[in-house]
Parts: sequence; structure tokens; C-alpha cells
Amino acid sequence: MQTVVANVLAQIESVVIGKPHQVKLALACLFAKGHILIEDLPGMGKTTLANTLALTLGLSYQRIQFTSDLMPADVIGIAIFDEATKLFQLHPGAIFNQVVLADEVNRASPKTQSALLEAMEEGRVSVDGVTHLLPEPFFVIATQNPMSHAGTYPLPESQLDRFMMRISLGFPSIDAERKILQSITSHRDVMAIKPFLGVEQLREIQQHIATICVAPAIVDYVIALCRVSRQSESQAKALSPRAGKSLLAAAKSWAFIQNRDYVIPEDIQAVFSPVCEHRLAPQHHHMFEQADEISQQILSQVDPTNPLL
Amino acid sequence: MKNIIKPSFKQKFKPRKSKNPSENNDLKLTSQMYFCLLIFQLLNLATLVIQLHLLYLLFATFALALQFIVHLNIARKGALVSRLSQSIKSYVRPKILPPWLMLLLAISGSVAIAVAGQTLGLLLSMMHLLCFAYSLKMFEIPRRKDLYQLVVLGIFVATSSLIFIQSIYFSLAVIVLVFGNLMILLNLFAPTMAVLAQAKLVAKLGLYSVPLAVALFVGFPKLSPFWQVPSVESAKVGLSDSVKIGDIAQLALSDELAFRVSFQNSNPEHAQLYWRAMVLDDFDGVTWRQSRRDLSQNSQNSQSGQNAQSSYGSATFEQANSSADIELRGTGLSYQVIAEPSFQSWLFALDFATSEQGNIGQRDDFALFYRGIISQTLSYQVTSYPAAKMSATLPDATRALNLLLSTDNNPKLLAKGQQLRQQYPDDRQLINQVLTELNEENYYYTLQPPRLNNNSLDQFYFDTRAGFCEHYASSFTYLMRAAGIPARMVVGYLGGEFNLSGNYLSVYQRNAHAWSEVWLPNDGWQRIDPTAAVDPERVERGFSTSLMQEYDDLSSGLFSLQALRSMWWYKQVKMQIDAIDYQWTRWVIGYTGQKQSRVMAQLLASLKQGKNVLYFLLILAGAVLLFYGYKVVKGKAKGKAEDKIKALYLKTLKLMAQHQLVKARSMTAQQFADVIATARPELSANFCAISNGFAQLSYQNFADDISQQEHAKQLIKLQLSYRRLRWQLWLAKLGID
Repeated sequence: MQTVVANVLAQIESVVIGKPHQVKLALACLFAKGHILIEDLPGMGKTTLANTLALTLGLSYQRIQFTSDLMPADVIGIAIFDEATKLFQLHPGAIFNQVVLADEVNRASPKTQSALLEAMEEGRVSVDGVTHLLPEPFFVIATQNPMSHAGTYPLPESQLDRFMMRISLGFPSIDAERKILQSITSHRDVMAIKPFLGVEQLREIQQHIATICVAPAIVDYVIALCRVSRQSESQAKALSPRAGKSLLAAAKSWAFIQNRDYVIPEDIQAVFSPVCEHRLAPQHHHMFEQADEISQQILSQVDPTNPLL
Repeated sequence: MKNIIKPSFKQKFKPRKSKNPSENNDLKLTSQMYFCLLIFQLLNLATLVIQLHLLYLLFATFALALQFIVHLNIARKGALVSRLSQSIKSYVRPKILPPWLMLLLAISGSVAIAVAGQTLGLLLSMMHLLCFAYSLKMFEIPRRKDLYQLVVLGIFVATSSLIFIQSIYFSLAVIVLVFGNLMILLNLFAPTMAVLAQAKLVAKLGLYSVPLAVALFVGFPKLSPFWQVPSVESAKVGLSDSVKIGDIAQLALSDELAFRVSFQNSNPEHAQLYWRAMVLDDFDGVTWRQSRRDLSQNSQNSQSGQNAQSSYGSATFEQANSSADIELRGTGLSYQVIAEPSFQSWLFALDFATSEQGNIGQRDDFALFYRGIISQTLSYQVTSYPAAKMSATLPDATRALNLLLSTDNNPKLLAKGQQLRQQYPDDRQLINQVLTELNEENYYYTLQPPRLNNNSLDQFYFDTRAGFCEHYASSFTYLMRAAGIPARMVVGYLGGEFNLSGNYLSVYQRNAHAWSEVWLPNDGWQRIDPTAAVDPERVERGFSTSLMQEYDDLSSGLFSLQALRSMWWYKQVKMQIDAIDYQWTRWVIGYTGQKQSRVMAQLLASLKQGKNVLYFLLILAGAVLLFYGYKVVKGKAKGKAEDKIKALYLKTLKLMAQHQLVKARSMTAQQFADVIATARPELSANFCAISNGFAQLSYQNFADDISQQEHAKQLIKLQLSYRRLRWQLWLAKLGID
């Protein structure tokens, strides 16, 4: 199972150059059945990462480009009258796929955004009073531009909370950038990616992750982190129990990627910032300078060896 | 904005030559800290304010006010600036006075104290020097050690006030003040700590020091002070060595404590509690005094403490003399008296009192006295024989003295005495007749007797017929002398109030009383209390209802606490507090050098007997066992091996922190182990063992799949690693590889 994971990682890293940490985080998020939000400037490889992830996982995949005139029906689908059966028949939208890439999600109108996010939360959609289940597994990979860009509708806090992680890629290093510029990787090459994981294997992996041990000391650590966030005097929002739950799930998944069958505090620390930063500080403007500041502050206030003093 | 930016720029790019090393050492304190220091200086000096000279007080006030104003200005400026930058909050102490002026002040002040030392006496001039140094030191605290000195001086000043006042309330206040002073030091080292946490820490450290303090208190040799505490409070309320009519009535409103007594066996009845203080046998028509022969001795005792030693010889001689005159009868009554400072030298005891204490003498009128001045609370042990016969034979000189009359003042009383003598040849009949007259005719016992012209006893006895105890005692004694019966006046206290919770008797100044003693041929000196004939309740219960009413009226005129005083709970609380105060006085203040040597001797003697050593060891062993048992039980309660290993890990972290290897808060065990491995590879083996053991147990093998035995084995291994690590760290600290 670990070799499969290694292969998956190797393949994605060959396409998304110089960002092994972010790739691992994204994979961990998907293994933990969480949706992921990739936030960065245009042209940093968000879409490439999302594409590669979806294709490597070998799942049915659809990309929706969010624009300001995108309607909820475009995402969910529409019931059309069928002459033959004399019934309204659902014409499924792009969301009826196992992996949905919601590109530039903050450019769409809030109405459309919430249609997508409701589907993410419920795992099903209702069209004209009829409920339709979404396929299993169901991942949403959303990308968005930083808030300060013109023509965007920032996601409200409650909807941000539905993403397990928010990651940003950041500028590549010199070496990585040289590689990117020299490579002849194009859109067609991305399409040539072969799937490594099937639905069955993914399910196996997810079952295995569920068996990973979480020691009481780790739970204490998570509780302590949440409590510190609630006492903090900064403008940060408090971490909810759901945030704590996501944190544990992500840490388990991370431990799995690190080829360990138990969680250690380092796992929590590794996933704490992507899991919690967007819950602590939903709207920040200098995202590239201080992106991790609040989560780092909270981490620095808790002693993992003796969390609940 | 420009103005604000400029200086910071300048500071940044200024060459560093101006910073010489001495400047770096300068102690910077926050203005809050300076105000704390000032306030505590004020409080520390306030404990001594009654003792200090007015000139010094003026100087100290001026110094404090000057510094207060300077710091207030700085703080105000700082408040304006600190909105922009945080760095102004603490600052080096400003130079308020130039060094030459400080020197001048110090020299002139010391000289002034030396000159005043003639009148102040050794102790007080030393005290002034101390306080003066304390005031001046406040002006210069350039370095941390100066702050230490200042705080220690403050503590010394505050505690030295206990030389003068020893009441429990004051002592408690001083203890609190000392802790407050210690808080200043703590605040220096842990400025961000919350005040409550600081107080807790100081209290904890204080508790740690208690066993040592108790051991020192009990065991450290008590040197007698090389100073004489000056009798500053000569104007104190209390009996004086001469009594005029009206003197004691003034005392009747005083709630001040005179002395306290605890009886060893049973408590005698109220009417038996005639506390003799002084015998006054010399009457000049107005004032009763001690007879001239005794007066000369007594003045040596009471007026100049330094000369007290010269009267020792004669006093012991008298004691030997008088003991021949006494015939002890009946059983003795033992009790301990704790006298409040009276700045006199007489003591209080029941008839007939004996004391075996070396510092207590007995006069030939059987009154006890202290060799020296009672300037501090004095505790002494007395045995009294109420049925003893005093002076079966009367020497001629004494007889003459006790019959002496100044005949020109009170002719009517004199005539009455002589007439009575003719009517009743028997002494007893005569006395009974007088007492019956006092009882049956219209005599009143009152706190506010009408004024007498020229203190005339005649006027009292025949006209006004209203008076306080000394009126009756005085005229009765006069009448007896007129009738040819040797008689003398005794002043002291009658009764007292039993404190039930402490089982002791408190005698207040308002219990002051005067009565008579007459000499009868076969019975010696007999106590006759004419007041008892006038107002028997006064003798039996302390105060009669009518007198109580009068008492209430008089005192409520001063302050209307009367309603409060009659409340039940107020009485209860007061009684409890008094009881605590009594025990405090008895055991803490009364723990004198003599007592100490007695306790030590007893302890040594009991230690010499092997049995007690055995008991002692057994108790010690029992205590140790109990302690360990408690620890084991406590450990079991926590029980789990992982908790023990976690505790060991945390202990290791503490140990490492003591050796400057501090784990950053957010570091995990593994990360810290890596840090140690790179920074101190030689420690790595032992530390990593503990760290890995901890990490494994708490994250990996936390489930119960490993037996407790294996956990215990691992724990022992890790403890070994811990010890090795500790040893390594110590060696490294000592520079040994």
C-alpha cells in the first residue's frame, strides 16, 4: 500500500515541480475525505495540482470554471422534460463526478458558491424536490485567488469551514523555477498521466487510516491547541470542535503518508497550519507574508509533551 | 511624525562609543516599581513613627515627597511617550541630589544623631541612624545590589519596631509588611507575574522558612539586649506611686489592659481577687505615698532603670527580713501573671505572695517588685497563701509610721476617731462600728463624686458622702489611725474578667481599686475594704448595676460604641481575639532567656534518658514512614506507568532547563532530542533514552498490550538514565569531563 502511495506522490511531484510538502498535504486531505481549497495567485500551478491529483487517483473528474455569471444549475444540473417518458429527467451538472475541480471558486456569485458548498457538506443535491446522491467518493478541489483581487466574492467563514485544508503553493525556488521553465510539460502531458489508484484501493487506504492509533496524549494536545485558540487575545476566531476533529483526521492521514501507524505530535504540527489557519483568520490580506502567523502563535503556546498543564 | 521618527533613526545609527560598561550595569526599574519602593519606605518608617524624633520625621517626609514628585513627573512624561514606544516604561533612577549634597547630608545627619544621642539613648540613636540611612539609600539605587540593600534595610526597620510594640495585631501587621517588602524583590525578577501569583509564591517561600525560624526562636541563645529601652511612655495610664483623692476614679473609664493571670488549678472567687500592687503608708493630708524610707528605694527602682541594680542588695535583705514575719497557713495558690508594660516596677499579686524568680524582690510591706522597669510585657510565676498571717509582731518604727497623722487637715475625722476609741476599747468592735456606719448611713459609691475643697476628708465623710473607692479607703485609714489602730492604704486591682475560651483572667485599668489594711495584735495585717460596706456588689461582681449605668453614661459621651459593645457576637469575637492575644503574649513574647534555658535544660535532660531518645527516633521513623506511605499511595492513585514515565520526562526537562538546555514550548520530544543530539552529543545517549521511552509510551504503546511489569522495568531503566544524565550535567557544570 505504501508503494502505491509512493508512486502516486512521485507522479504528482513530477508534474507539480518543487512543492513536495503541498502535494503531500493535498493527498493527505483527500485520503482523510476532506475537501481542499488551494489559494494562490494566478499562474502558480493551482490548476495543475488539482488536475494531476484527480487524474492520478483515477476517478471520474470534471472541472468547473467559476465565473461571475455561472448559475447554480450549471453546477448541479437541471431537470428537463423528457418527451419519451413524459417525465422530468435530471440533466446532471458537473458536480456529479467523483472529483470536482472548482476553479477560481471566489469569482462566482455567492448563490452559486453556496450551491456547491451545500453539495459538499451534504453529499447530495436536490433538484426540483428530488434528491440525488452524489457519487462516492466525492472530493472537491477548489482554487481561489487572493481576496484582494478585483471581481471576487470572498467565501464566508461558514463555507470556508467546509474545507478541511487551505493550502497555498507559493513561488517556486530558483531550481524549481528553472525546471519549470525548461520543461516541455504542457496541458497535453498532464492528460497523459496514468491513474495509479482505483476506487477500491482508495477505499482500502481510507479504511486503513481509520485504524491509525491516536493516543490520549495526542487528543490532549489537540484539545490544548483548541483551548488556546479560544483564549487568545488576537482577532483570531476560535477553533470549533469540528476543527479539532478535522485536525485529528488530517494528522492520521499525514501519519499514514509518513508510513507510521500511530500519530505523533509532529503530525499535528505539520497539518495544523493548513487545517486551522483559514478557520482562525478567514480573511487576511497579506497572505504571503503572515499566512501562518496565528496558527504558529497558537502552536508556540502549547507544550506537546505536557499539553494540559 | 517627523519628530518621532528622527530620534529613533539617530539611535539606530549612532556609534556605540557612548555606551561604556558601567552604563550597561545600570539598574532600570519601572515607575511602578519606584512608587512601590516609596510606598513601602513610608510604611516601614510608619511602624516606628512614635519613636522617631520630629526633626528626622520632617527630613524623611521631605525626602519621600521630593522623590515622589520627581517620579510622578517622569511617569507622566513617560505616559505621554509610551503611547508611541514601549521603551520608556523603565528607566535608570534620575539623579535627584548631586553627590556632594548627599555626602554633606549623610555627614551632617550622622553628626546630628550623635549629638542627639545624649538625650535619645543608645537604642533610639541607633534606630535613627538606621532610618536615616534608609531614607538616604532611597536616593541612590544604581545597581541591583543597592536595591537588595534597600529592601533588606526596609525589612530591618520594619521589624525593629517590634522592640517597642509587641501586641499581636501589630506583629501581624509587621509580618505582612515584611512580606510586602519581599514582594518588591520578586517583582524585580518576575515583573510579568500576576500579583496574586507573586503573593502565593512569597507566601510559599515564607512557609518554607517557618521551620528554621521556629528552630531559631526556640534554640538560639537569647542575649539580653545591651540597650535599655527608654521609658518614653511615662504618661501611660495606670496606677502611680502616689494617690490623691480622685486619681483612681479617673482610671475607672480606661479599658486598657493592666495584666493577665492564669491560675494553675482552680479560679478563686471574684471577692478574693485583691491584687496588691503598692502599700501607701505616708499620708500628708492630701496625698498617700509610700513611706519615705521605702520611697528612697522605690525611686531608685522606678525612676531610673540604670540604677536599679544598686537596690538589689537592700531588697534581698528586706526579703530575708520580712520572711521572718510571715506565718504561712493554708494551701498555696499558684498562678502566672503577665503584666503589660507599666514603666514602673511594682508587680501584682494576691496576699500573701511569694515568688522564686531572681528578678523579683519583696518589700517589707509584702509587695512584690521587679528589679528594673517593666518596659516590656513581663511574665512571672507567683504562689499566694491567702490565709497567711502577716507581721504577727509590729516593729516600733513601722507602728509609728502607720499611726502618723497630719492633724491639721481633718479635725472632725480626728475627733470622731478619738471618740470611737473611747466608746469601743476593742479594735474589732471599733472597725465593725465604722463599717456598719458606712453601710447604714447615706453613703454612695459613685464615679463622679462632688468636688471636695482641698481634698478634705472631713467634707467627704460628713457632708457629701459620695465617693469612689479611694475616698472610702482614705478616710477609713485616717479614722483608724485617729483611733490608734495602725492602718495603711493599699492600691491595686480588684477582680478582673474571666476569658472562658482562654481560661485566664484579664485585669483592666478600670479594675483599679484602693482598700485598707489594719494591724491587729493577734492577726497581723488584715485587709479591710470599706467599699465593700458601701457597695457590696462592687466587690462581689466587679460593678454594681447603678455604677454600670453611670459607667455607660460616661463612656457613651466619648464615643457611642455602647450599642455595639452589648452585642453578643461582639463580645464573643472580642473574647476569642483576646484569648489568642493572651497565648501569643504568654508563649511568644513571654519566651524569655530564662524560659529558654529551662526548656533547653529539660530537653537535654530528657534526651539523656535513653528512653526518650528511643521515643524520639520512633516518632521520627514513623513520620518518615508516613511520608513515604503517603507518597506511595499518591503514586498508586495516579498508578499508570505512562504517567510515571511522563513525570520522569518532565523532571528531566526541568533538570535540563537548570543547565541552560531549555526546550522551547512548542518543541515535541523528538525535536528536542534532535536539538540535544546536535548541541550536546555527549548527553544524547541518556537523554534520548528517556525521550524515546516517553514518546513511545505516550504515542505508540499507550494501549494496555504491554504488561505493567514491563513498564516497571522500563521505568527503572529510564530512572537510571536520569541519574546518569544528572551526574553528567553536574560534571559538565563543574568543568570536569
